[in-house]
Formats: sequence, structure tokens, C-alpha cells
Amino acid sequence: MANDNVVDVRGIVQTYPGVKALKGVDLKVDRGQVLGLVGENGAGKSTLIRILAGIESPVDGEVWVRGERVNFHTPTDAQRAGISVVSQEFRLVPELSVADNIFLCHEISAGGVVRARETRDRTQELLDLLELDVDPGRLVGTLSVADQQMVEIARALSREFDVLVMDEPTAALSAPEAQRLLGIVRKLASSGKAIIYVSHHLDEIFAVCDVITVFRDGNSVWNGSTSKLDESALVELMLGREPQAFVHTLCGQDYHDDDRPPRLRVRELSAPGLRRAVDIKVHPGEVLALAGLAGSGRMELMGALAGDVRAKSGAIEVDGVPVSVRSPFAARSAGIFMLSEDRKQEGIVPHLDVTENTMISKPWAARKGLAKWFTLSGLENSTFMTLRKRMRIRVPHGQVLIGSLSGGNQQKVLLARAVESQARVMLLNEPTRGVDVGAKVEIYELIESLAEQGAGVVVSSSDIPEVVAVANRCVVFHAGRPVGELAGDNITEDNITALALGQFKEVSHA
Amino acid sequence: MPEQSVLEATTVPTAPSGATKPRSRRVLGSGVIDSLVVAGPLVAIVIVAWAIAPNFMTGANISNILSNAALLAIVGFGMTLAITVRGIDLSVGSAQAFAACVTGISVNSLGVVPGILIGLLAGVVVGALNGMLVTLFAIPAFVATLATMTAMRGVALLTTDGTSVYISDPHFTQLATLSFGGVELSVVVAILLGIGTWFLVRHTTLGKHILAVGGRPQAAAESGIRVSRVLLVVYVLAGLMVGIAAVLLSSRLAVVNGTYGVGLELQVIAIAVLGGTSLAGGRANVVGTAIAALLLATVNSTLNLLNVPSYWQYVAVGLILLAALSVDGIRRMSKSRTGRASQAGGAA
Amino acid sequence: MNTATGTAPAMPVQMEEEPAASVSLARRIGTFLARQYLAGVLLVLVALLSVFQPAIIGAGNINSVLLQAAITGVSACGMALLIGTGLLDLSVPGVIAISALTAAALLPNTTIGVAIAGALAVGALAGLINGVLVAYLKIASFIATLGTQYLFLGIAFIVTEGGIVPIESYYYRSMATQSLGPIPVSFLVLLVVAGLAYGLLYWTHFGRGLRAIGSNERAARLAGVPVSAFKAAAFVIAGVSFAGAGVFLSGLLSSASGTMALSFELNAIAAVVVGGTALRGGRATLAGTVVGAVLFSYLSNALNLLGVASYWQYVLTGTVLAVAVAAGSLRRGPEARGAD
Repeated sequence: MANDNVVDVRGIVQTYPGVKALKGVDLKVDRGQVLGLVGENGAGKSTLIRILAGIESPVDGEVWVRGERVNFHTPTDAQRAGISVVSQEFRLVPELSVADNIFLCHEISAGGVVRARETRDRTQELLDLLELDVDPGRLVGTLSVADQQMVEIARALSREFDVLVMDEPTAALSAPEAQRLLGIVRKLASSGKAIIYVSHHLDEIFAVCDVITVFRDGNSVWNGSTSKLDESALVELMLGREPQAFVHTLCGQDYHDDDRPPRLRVRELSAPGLRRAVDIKVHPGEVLALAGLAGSGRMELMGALAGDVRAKSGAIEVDGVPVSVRSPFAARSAGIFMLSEDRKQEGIVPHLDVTENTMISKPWAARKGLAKWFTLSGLENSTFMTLRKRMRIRVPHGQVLIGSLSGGNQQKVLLARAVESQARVMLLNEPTRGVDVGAKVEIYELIESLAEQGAGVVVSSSDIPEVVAVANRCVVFHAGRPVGELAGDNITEDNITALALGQFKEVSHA
Repeated sequence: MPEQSVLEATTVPTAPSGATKPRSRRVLGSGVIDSLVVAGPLVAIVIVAWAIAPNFMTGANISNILSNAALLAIVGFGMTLAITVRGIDLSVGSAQAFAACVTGISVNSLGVVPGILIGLLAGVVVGALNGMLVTLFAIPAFVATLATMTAMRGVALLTTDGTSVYISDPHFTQLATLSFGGVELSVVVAILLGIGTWFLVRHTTLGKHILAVGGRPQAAAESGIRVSRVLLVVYVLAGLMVGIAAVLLSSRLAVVNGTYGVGLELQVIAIAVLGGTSLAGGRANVVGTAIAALLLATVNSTLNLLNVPSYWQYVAVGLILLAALSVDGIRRMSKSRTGRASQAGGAA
Repeated sequence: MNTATGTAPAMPVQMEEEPAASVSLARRIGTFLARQYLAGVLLVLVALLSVFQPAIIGAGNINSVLLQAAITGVSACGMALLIGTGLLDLSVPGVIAISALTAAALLPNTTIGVAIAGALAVGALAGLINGVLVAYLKIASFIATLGTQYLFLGIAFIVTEGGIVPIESYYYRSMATQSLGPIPVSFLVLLVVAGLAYGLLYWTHFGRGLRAIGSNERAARLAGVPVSAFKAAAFVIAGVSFAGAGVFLSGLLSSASGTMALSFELNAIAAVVVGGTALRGGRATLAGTVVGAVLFSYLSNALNLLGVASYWQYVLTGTVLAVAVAAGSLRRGPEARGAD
């Protein structure tokens, strides 16, 4: 094969049970080139990366590296072929040192014995390259998230590679750190490496990439030189439509005139992962959105409010009454319900059917008579059937095990659980993650109806269009603290993005 | 293939060179500090025992404590590895009985060297069986080794038909008490195995992989470590340690029986956890295991010297284990409370 | 972005209106039978053994098998509750010993009722200790209860000085051995206990919480299930069931001692597993547990009658455990996703 393409991906198809994640995508990178891979959440970027990293094998299609057809079965296969990956989820072992993590599985060794001195020196060189000032002997578990991110990058650089795949490498970095990383990326490219750069930050894409490939719904829909596009054209390609398609489904109201006590009032709450105490208020019928990057503190705040993580100090009031949330059980009893962002690990209870999954959070106080103690399946079934109709949950009957449902329907069952919890404060983490477009709209409507019935709703989301769509008010987090509050027409994607990246001055007020 | 590493390919004028950076060498690893935590109670118990137990500080008693501790520690090193990979080996007691019986029978019929080798092999076989149940069939370690614990107890009793087998060969029966400058062979073996295990964990690639598999299995797998292979090796090593201890035990007692080692798993888990190896995985403390073995042997010996009925030793071991586990549990809880937030790196 | 990979299968589900109750009943019977593959194997073994040794199916022998099964079964019901919650209790021999010794100590001075109540109370206390260690000090259940097994056994040995405490009370003994026709009363008690355990697990909010903990503890916690309290309560209930087994066993033996129930925990676990309950938790079959207890007792009884060395019993128990769990683990595919 006489072409310059170091990596040539042709017609890759990948399916998970019931889902076609990739529907035949193509991608090419040359030596010395930085390719920006962009697409919405769920477009299939991470799936392709997992395939290139040897973690998954595709159902169909071909991967060519340096003109040779390759088939990766293990991560080691991919590394041997010269593909190095900075994954979005860190593959670091907290109990090992920085040096040991960087050289994990390709240790500098002789006869099975690690050569500590050399490992340390090589590590130091890599850390210097990334301008990261940590001791190579320090345990990774003691590092900040940003430093862990840098170690993950150092790890990818420690291998001999021709192709570097970087999946959201700046997600946990501060703006200057991110800038420095972009410089390193350019430098690597000019030394002849091929780089596949995945990011949601379009400014980074335009700053560093030579060419761009756009994924949408498991297809590669566009590729070409960066110079042919501007940001709005790229957004349109990613969405497949004009970006103006987003409209406020809820009208902004001024809740501050409301003389009822707020549903939720948080005073001076400090919790692990938050660098500053937080004050927030949510009124009945209001949807407050928390925006910000991963690790920005919004997830930690939600965890503290739901009793999952113990707050260090501060006060929480529900309807003006101080409550103590020492555990999720205590929180639920106090009228606070949380939907986890991780549906599979922390949401569904797989051995229980959809009815039981729906009813499990109904508190003692809301149960009457015999139902206080007994589950009374007839009663529960009819309750579920009513909810099924109202929430358009697509199941034939209430005895279906929840694991056999699609992501969207599972999420609706969990929202039905929220309804049955009769909580006055609903904390919803990533309510539409991994949910298809149709169900997404229905879930927005459900959130709206929860609020209309008087609950105070807090939505924490990394999906900025979603925040714009559902929020009456929005608090944006950056680096462990709330950095700004937006309301009404000020809730725009630009404003949220600027605040989330720590660029406070660029927020425009409409 | 990729020609050269990135470091040679890129020049980084701004970065300071590695040599000029101050290097903070950690003189004491965290493992050593943890071991000292166990050493405190050991010293305290030795002082108390010295004060209240007659004949505690006699040569015979000290040597007895040391060789008891050696046999516990040898099995303990294997258990430490198993616990480090988030596993456990409940079969050590039965496996020791089985290996001891096999050793006794084959020393009597085949001679010393083949007997020893077959005894070690018996330990390895049980370890391999555990490893296969854990890796091939994906059975949780405690269930798999509970099953082999039960089955091997039966097999051990069957090999000697429930009776005691006396070992006649004097070469074999003098082996364990063979003295190296006043130190018995079993103690020497334990020290060597301890150093070997410590070196394995600290300085070899396999050791790094063991820590990685225990610390974060998924990260280990995605880094290219063959997790099943590491687990299998760990269980085989644990079995080998049991085999070595069984050979030394049968040499020392000159008689073997299928009822040996009942409750051994409890003592050995106790010393591993007491020594600072966390049940959460990813942290091995070999030195701590050795010190904790000394502690347990001292407690047992003192209770003996004081003529306390042997059942009290059950209670003592049970309490020591539960105390060590509680400390470990509380430590894990406080860690997870602060740890969860700092791990939130992934999903964006 | 990474969510596509973590998403559960999106199977198209038809919106047919089906009579839910009848469907689920037929399905339940179907899945129940499908889980009894191990019981099937043992049934074949029992049939074969019966051909070789017809005495096994003699009326007197059936009675003694059922007596044994009742004791194993009552403790297995408590164990099933724990296994459904994703827990395990290895302290059974210790709990049986100390509760039986309590009854034996009380009997000369009080009525049978008080003695039994005392035994059950001691079982509950032992369960509470286990529960606190597991639920509040977060020690893995198998290892915490391994520790308490030795603790309780140690206490039993100390109290008895390693000896045996005889039970003289005629009524206590006959309570444990009496029969209604060929069926021992204790076996009828087992049926009632199994029924109660089923009701507790499947008809109450508490039981639902236990199953949720066994299925996905993190999700159960976030859904507001008081995980620690429920776990501790499950251990207390299991402790009472072990004490019940201790009462029957001491009546059958006419004595109590530290060694009366050694390695009994394995019989209880084996009965639960043979009955088709997976050790992963999330559900438990009580009917299967009763069947498992009967088959297991039958088999060990048959081995006795055939004059097989009693050591084979260990090998059998261990092998059955390993095979049951391995088979369950290999069949796991769909169930891990909850599609059962």
C-alpha cells in the first residue's frame, strides 16, 4: 500500500446487544497530522477508540496500520502496532507510584526484575516534558485529578508509538495546563507522529487539528481540512441540523418573589471534592441545572445532598425545615431523591422486575395500612401500570426484568421510581445519558412535569444543550466551586461553556 | 514498527533537565511504617509474657515460638499475595494436611528427596485447582477455596484412612530442626521466603502486576496485563507456600495426620490482615505478615505456658482476627469517604 | 460519550397487553424447574443408590433422612435469606453450639418453652454480633463470620470445658424426634419456616430491600434502602434460624457440645446452592432449599448405609459446592445483565 496513512479505518461496525454503536465508520490519519474527531455524546467516538486500543474487537470492518491489516485482540496488540492511547477514564492504579503506573505492563526490567533507577529517570524525563512537578515515587492515589490526567498522558508517551489517540485529554485540566498540552500535541505532530484528538472543546479542535472527522449517530459524516470549517458549521455537522433547533421548553420565571420557603436551601455546604462552601436555593416548580466539566464539583455536591458522601459542614433545609442527610436513606426520608448518573452500576436493580424497581424508593410515611409492611403486588402492579401509561414506558407488563429494557426505558423506570419516592427535592444526574433522541424529549417532558407538580428539581448535566433546554436557572461549576449563576435568557451554550472553562469575563449578559 | 521513542524525537527547550531537579527519596516506604505499627503490640505482648509467664525467656521456648511463627509466616506470605489480588485462600489448612499426608506417605515409600518434591507438588496442585476455579470458572475466591477446603479435608483424611502415619526416616525428621548457627531450618526458610516475597512484590514486574490487579483490576486489564494469568500464578504460589510449610511440619512432627491444620486459615488470614495487608486489595505488607506471625505465635505460646485451656486460643485468634478486620474495615471506610470524590475523573 | 458502551441492550419490546399474572406464574414455574438442574443430578444419584441399597428407601430410613433434612433445612432457610442478600454466614456451627448449650443449661430449671426461647435469643444475639461486624464495620461477611465461628466455638468449649452437656428432659427430646405418621414434626416445622422465609423475602418491603442489596448494593443504597440496618437484621433472623436448628439437633442427640455441629455451615450452604440459589445474591428459592436439604441428607445417609468412609462426605460437599457455583457462573451471561 503506497500511501501515507498511518492509520486507515474502513467501514468499522460495532454492535452491543440491541445497539449499533458504529455503523461503518471511516477514518484516516497521516504522519505529522493531528486529526480532530468530534461528535455529540453517543456518536461512537469512544467506541472507535476502544477498538483502536484493543479493548474491543469490531463486528465488521478493517483497521490498517502503516499499510498492514491488523486485528487487535488485546491492548498489548494495539501497543505493539504502535498505537498509544490516552483514555478518558484513567487506567491508573492508585496504589502504585507515578513511575510504576507510567511503565505498567511495559516495565523497564531485566529478567523480570524492575530496574528502578532507570524507570525513575525515564519517568522524570517524561514529567519534565509535560512540566509536571511531582515525585516519580509518589503514589498516584495521592495526586489531584489534573495531575492524574497528566500521568495518564505521560503513560501514553512512555511507549514507542506512531499514533497517539487522545480522548478528552483536557477534561480535568485548567486552562493554562490545557494550553501547554496543546503545544505538546503540535510538537509531537511536527516530529512525525500521527495524532487522533477527541474533544468536546471546539476551540481546542480548531487550535490544534489539521483535519477533522465528524461522527454522528455511529456514522462518519464529514471529513476534511480544518480550514474549510468554522465553529458554527462544525456544530451543524455534529448535530445534523441548525443549532438554533434548541428551544426553552420551560419559560423562565422569577422565583425570588415566591413567598413560600424554597424546596431546598443549602447553606455553606462543604464536601469532599468541593473547594469552596456552596449556597444554593431551589423553589417549588423550579428546575435548577448544575453545569460544569467532570471533576468540577457539581457531582460531588449532588452526592453530598443525597447523603451518599458525608458533607463536612453546612446546613440543608427542605421546605424550611433543617434536615440531616447522613445516608441516602436519611435523605429519602427527608424528601430528597437522587438519580445516579451511572444507570447500570448505581441505578437499576437487575434481579427485580420493573414494578419492584419503581416501588423500591417509596418511603415508610407514604405507605398506608398493610402496605406499610407488605408489598401487595396487586396494588403495586396497578400503580405501575398507571405510571407506565403516563410516562410512556415501553414494557408489556410490570413483571419484566429491568435489565432487558433499552436505556431510555430503564431511565423512565428510574424516573418513575423518583415519582413514587414522593420526594420534594429531585436530584437528577445526567438524566438522558445513553438515551436515544426520542426518549430524550420524553424525559425532558417528565422533568418538566415533576417540576409542575411542585417538586424542586436539580439537574446536573455535562450535556450543555440539555442544560439550556431544561433549566430555569443554572449554576456553573469550575474547579470545585460554583463560578456563576445564569438565569432566563442568559442560559446559553456559549455562556455555560465559558464559565465551565473558567473564562469568567467572556460571559455576555443578554 | 515504530522507530524511536518520543523523547528522542522531540526537543523540549523549556523543560528543566531531570538531573537538576531535587529528588526526595523516600527512605521509609509506607510498608515499613505499617509494619512498625504491628511491631508495637508485639513488643508489648513479649514484655507482658515475660512478666507473667514462667519460662517465657528460655531458649527452648523462644526457639519454639520462632519455629511456630516460621510455619505460620510461610503460609502467611502466600495468603498475603492472595489477599493483595482481592482474593483469599480458605483452603490452606486442608491443603496443608493433604500435603503433609502425601509427604509422609511418599517419604516412607520413595525416600526423602522424592517425598519432599511430591509434598511440594501436592501444595501446588491444590493451589492450581484454586486458581483454575477462580479464573476459568470465575468463581469468587472465598467460595472456590471454601469448596476446596472441604473437599481437600476429605481427601487428606482418605489418604491416611483417618489414621496417623509415622515417618521413620531419621534424615527427614531431623531436617526441620537442622540448626544453622542456632537457627532452625524452618526459620531460615521462612526468612528466605519472606525476603523473596518482599522482593517479588517490590521489585519485579510480576509484583507490579499483582499490585495493579489488586488495586484496580479493570485498569490492569486495559493496560494489557493478563489478569487471569496473574491470579493463577498467585494461587499456585500460595499453594507452593502451603506445600513448603507442610513438608517442614511433617519433618518436625515425624507423624502426619489428615486432621492437621484445622483452623489454620483463620490464623493465617489474621496475621496477613494484622500485618497491614488490606482486604481491599492492592497493598501487600510482607514484613507486617512476618511480624504478625511472631505476635500470634507468642500469644499462643504464652497461653500454653500459663496453662490456659487450649479453647481460649480459639477465642484469642478469633478476637485478634476480628480486631484486625475491624481496623481494616474502618480504614477502608474513611478512605472511601474521601476517595470517591477524587476518583471522579472519568465521565465527562 | 462513553455511555454507549455502558448502556444496556435496547431490545424492542412489544406493547402487547398480556394478562401479566398468568404469564408470570407459568414463567416462574418454568424458571424454577430450570434452576433445579443440580437437584436433578442428585435425584438420579439417589435413584441409583436406592437400586443398590433398597434399605435406603425403607420407611424408618426415610424418617431419619427427613429428621436430618429438617435440621439442615431450618438453618439453610436462614442461610438462603443471607445468600439472597449477597451475604454468607460461616458461624453456623458456633451458633448452633452456643444456642443448644443455652437450652441444655436452662432445661433443668425451667419449661421447654423458656429453654427454646433462650436458645433462640442467644442465636439472635450471635446474629447481631455478625450483623454489626458486617454491616457497620464493613468486614466481608465470609471472613467476619469465620472469625465469629471460632469465637462462638471457643466460648462453647470454655463453657463445657471441652465436654458434652447431656439433656435429660424427655419432652424436649420427643419434641425433636416425634413424628406424625412417617413425617417428623421437625420437618413440618421446616416447611413452615421455609414458607415464612419466602413470605418475608418476597412479600415484604424488608425482603425486597434484602434482594435489592443482593442484586446491586450500590443501587439499593442510593434508592434509599437502609442497607446496614437491613443486613444486620438479616443476620439476626439467620441467627434465630440456626438456633432453631440447634434446638432440633440437641433434641435429636439428647446433648449439646462444642463439636455437635462442626462444618454444618457447609451443609447449609450446599442445601441452598443445590436448591438453585446462586451465591451472587438477588434472589433465593426457598422451595429449592427444602428440596436441596432433603436430597443432601438423603445422599449422606445413603453413603453411610453403603459403608462408604465418612471422609467422602467432605469430598462430596466440596465438589457439589464447586460444581454448583461453577455451573451457575458459566450460565451467568444473560443474568448478569438482569435478563435472567
